[in-house]
Amino acid sequence: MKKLLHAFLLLLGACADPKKESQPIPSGGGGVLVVNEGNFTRGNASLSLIRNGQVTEDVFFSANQRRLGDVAQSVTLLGKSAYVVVNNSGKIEVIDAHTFQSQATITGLRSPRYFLPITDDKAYVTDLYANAISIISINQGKIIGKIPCAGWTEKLILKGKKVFVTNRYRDYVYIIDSEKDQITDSIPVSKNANSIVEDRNGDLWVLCGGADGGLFHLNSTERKVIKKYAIPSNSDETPAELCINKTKDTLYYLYQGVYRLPVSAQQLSNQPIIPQKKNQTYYSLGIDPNNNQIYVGDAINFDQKGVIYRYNTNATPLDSFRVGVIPGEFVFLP
Amino acid sequence: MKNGVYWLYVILFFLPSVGWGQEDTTDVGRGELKLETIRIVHQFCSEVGDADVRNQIHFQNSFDTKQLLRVSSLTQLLEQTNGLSVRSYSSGGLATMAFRGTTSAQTNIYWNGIPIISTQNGLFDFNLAPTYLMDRANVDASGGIGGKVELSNNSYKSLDYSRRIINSESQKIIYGDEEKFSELRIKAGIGSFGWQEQGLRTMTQDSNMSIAFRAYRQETQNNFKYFNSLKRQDETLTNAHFNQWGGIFSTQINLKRKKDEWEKESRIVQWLKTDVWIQQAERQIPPTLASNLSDTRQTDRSIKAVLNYHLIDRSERKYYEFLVGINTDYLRYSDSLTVINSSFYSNIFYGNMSQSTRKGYYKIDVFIKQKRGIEAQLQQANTSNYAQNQQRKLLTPYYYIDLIRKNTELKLFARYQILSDQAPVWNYSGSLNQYWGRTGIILRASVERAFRIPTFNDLYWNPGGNPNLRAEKSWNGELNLAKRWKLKNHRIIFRQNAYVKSITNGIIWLPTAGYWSPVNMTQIRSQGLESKLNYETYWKGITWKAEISYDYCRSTPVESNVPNDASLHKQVMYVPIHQAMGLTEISYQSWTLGYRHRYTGYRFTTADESDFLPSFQLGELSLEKSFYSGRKWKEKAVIRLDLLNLYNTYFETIALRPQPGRHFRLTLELIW
Repeated sequence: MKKLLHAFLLLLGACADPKKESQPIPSGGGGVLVVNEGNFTRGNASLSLIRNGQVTEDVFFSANQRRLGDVAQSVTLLGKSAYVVVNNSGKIEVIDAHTFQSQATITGLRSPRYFLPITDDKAYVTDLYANAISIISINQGKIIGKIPCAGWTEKLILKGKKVFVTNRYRDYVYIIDSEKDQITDSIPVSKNANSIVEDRNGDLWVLCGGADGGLFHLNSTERKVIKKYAIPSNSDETPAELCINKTKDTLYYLYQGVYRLPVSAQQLSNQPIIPQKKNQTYYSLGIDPNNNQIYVGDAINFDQKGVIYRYNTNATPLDSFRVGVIPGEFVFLP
Repeated sequence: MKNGVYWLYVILFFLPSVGWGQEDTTDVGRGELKLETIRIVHQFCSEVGDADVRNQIHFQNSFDTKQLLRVSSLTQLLEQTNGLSVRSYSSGGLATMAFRGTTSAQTNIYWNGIPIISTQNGLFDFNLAPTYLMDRANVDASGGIGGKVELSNNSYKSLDYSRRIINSESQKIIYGDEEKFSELRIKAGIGSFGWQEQGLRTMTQDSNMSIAFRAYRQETQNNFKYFNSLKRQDETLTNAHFNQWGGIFSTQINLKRKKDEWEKESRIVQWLKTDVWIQQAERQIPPTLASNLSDTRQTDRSIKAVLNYHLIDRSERKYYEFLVGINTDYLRYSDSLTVINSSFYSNIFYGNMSQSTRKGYYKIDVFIKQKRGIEAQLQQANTSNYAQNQQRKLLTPYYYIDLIRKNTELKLFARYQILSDQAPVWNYSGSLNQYWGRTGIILRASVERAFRIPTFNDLYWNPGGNPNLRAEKSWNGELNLAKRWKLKNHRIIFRQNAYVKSITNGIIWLPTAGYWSPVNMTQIRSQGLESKLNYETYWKGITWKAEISYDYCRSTPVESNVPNDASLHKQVMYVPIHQAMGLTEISYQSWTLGYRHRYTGYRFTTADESDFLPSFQLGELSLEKSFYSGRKWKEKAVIRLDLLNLYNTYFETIALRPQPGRHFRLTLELIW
């Protein structure tokens, strides 16, 4: 009878739920914040902190005892705060960039993607479905206006008083006058423009997927394409995740591996500096401005925690880290 | 540790059952089997087929009309069934089920013999199958990688079938099988969150023909309150209205039939049966806990029709069946927020002809039944996401043999499916059943080779569809044991199932170039145990029934060629490892009071077991009062009150999709 009771208790123990325990956030500064998108509609977005070679998982949950939301798209640092854009939750979580504690939540957005501070009190937020760019009052923490822009607006960059916005559904980069909050001009590229950076010469580089896609070198002053480097998409991969190093003279992007391109180069390299292995899913890319180390995020099969591979400037592997589900962006903390 | 629990469980439940069975000398099983055989002979001559004997041997879950009338949708019944994992987006939302660690698309669904799963994605929404329209539902773990569900409408005597009383000595029907019969039932119900239903069932029959019509309407606002754990605030579910109506019209014409087909047999018995099912559902799809708002709407329309001709040649003991059917589905999905507006059309034209023969008699325990036939299907589908209209032709010859000699039964089945767009596939199975009538033990061992062909979405979705996909295949092995005890007024039945499935070529959608594409990649092994104990007693006019059941299911990928894949040997998402249920029901005269308690264990929501939905327990209380009149205790009215989610438990079966808390449903059914 006693054995039977033990067996019953053993069975009950096996039924007990696993526990989600929050990890203590390590002290000190710096490190890399990994923005893990999480699965669409499952609400398992998270932020992982890589600091001193150790990963602390879900620092938002640890600091706030609640989940971040559904699909964390991007993080932008502004002063001592970090603006975490949570796409399918339609919100921006404003957190302390050091403690990760919530400071405010900006709600009412449709499907926000990227946050760009324009002035001390004004920021733009691109959107997947809103057909508009939202204007946010940073101090009030709320939406104060809209800039109509049809299509899926994506990454954006501030150059002087002009904001250049990519659009995945339209084959233009749109130019916004940030004083008037109006679109004033555009530069033709191709559809599916997913990323934009500025180089040391003040020129812009836009990466577009799709059959007519490629890397577009733009003269932002004359508002024209200097050169297009064709990178045709195929059924296996499309170019994405355009990054630039701190000195703004070398471009990096993903295309079945990590490619590198000096801004002065006349043609694209045929070989990736870091090839993607079979059945790997390179999904995100970041260049550490402190040491030019290369961070590559592997989403694996999108249903489990992803892996971050770290390489030195010569593309020699250094180490790897297991982070949250679908690591989509790297933010290098000061 | 987990394997230890598995084997401990085997020892605890399997061996004692065998041991106790050997000690039992009461003559229970034999008598019971005899009563069942009477039913079987009758059913072989009618349209029902041999469902009951399979219930006994296959340990399948079978729901008769009376059980179906008690609930409003199949989802409610399936949630109470062991071995199943029901995934419901919300009350009235998409609800699918999966067997024993498989995926929802791996379960085959039939209505009156024709397949009704979507050719688009292989799914069937159980919330779109009102039980008030059905007469029988069988849930069987065999018949596909993920088993099968068979819904059917009886055109004859279906309303009284569950209450038929057969004298096992004289082999005559005492009650419930009159030739002339007519009935009208009207049902109305109200409940929490704006739920209301109306139903009508009418049937009239004589020895020449029967006509039955069933209609049903259901509407609910689903505006229940819940605590949003993500936003840390109370919320009310919005955009969750659900409205559904439909009807099934059935006729049966007996082309040649005498008064009593058992005792005054005619040589040729033949009948023509038709069923037409028309249905429409309009639903709003609510936002998830993480979203602010939703404006998603979905419309489902379907027309299903079956024409079925049966001919029994008694002198030759041959049975012919010809069946043609059509299943047309239309689905419209729109979302003003994401600017999605898509439609989907699908048709299945189905034909099946078969011949069955039988030799020997159940009564002397020597019996051979053979069935051979061929089925043909034309599947068509179109949506804006396909480059063109897609269609597929299937031709499937099959053969089945059932051999019974004394207490041993052997069943063999083989079918060979030839497809216009895929390599041909084999499906075969064999089972061996052994009865020990004196001790009331039934033991069964079976093995099955099953497959699932890729859906049109898998093959042709633009972008991402992969026309090179192959069929998923599986080996299913199962061992079943049942033991019955009967002591005076007490009856106990214990059932124990152990199974293992090995699924290869599993189709999984993986990201490629900014979109997802399916590949044949997963290798899954699913193994588990299912136990069920039923107890029933009768004392001074009081009937007490009790049932407890427990499921253990471990379903894991066993192979992976993805670097750093942490899902290897981890539980498949949304498959609970542990499920249990307890039920008690007490009846006195015309009153029935029931309580059901259900436990669903935690379910992982990521493939590497890093995130999960917590376990939950639900209690349901029901009180039913029947009103009778006349000498035969003819039921005239039934009033029923259900208190669902009694403890107001917050739970999710799909992540971030809240389910209603405590609520009630009150129904009244009048019968003439």
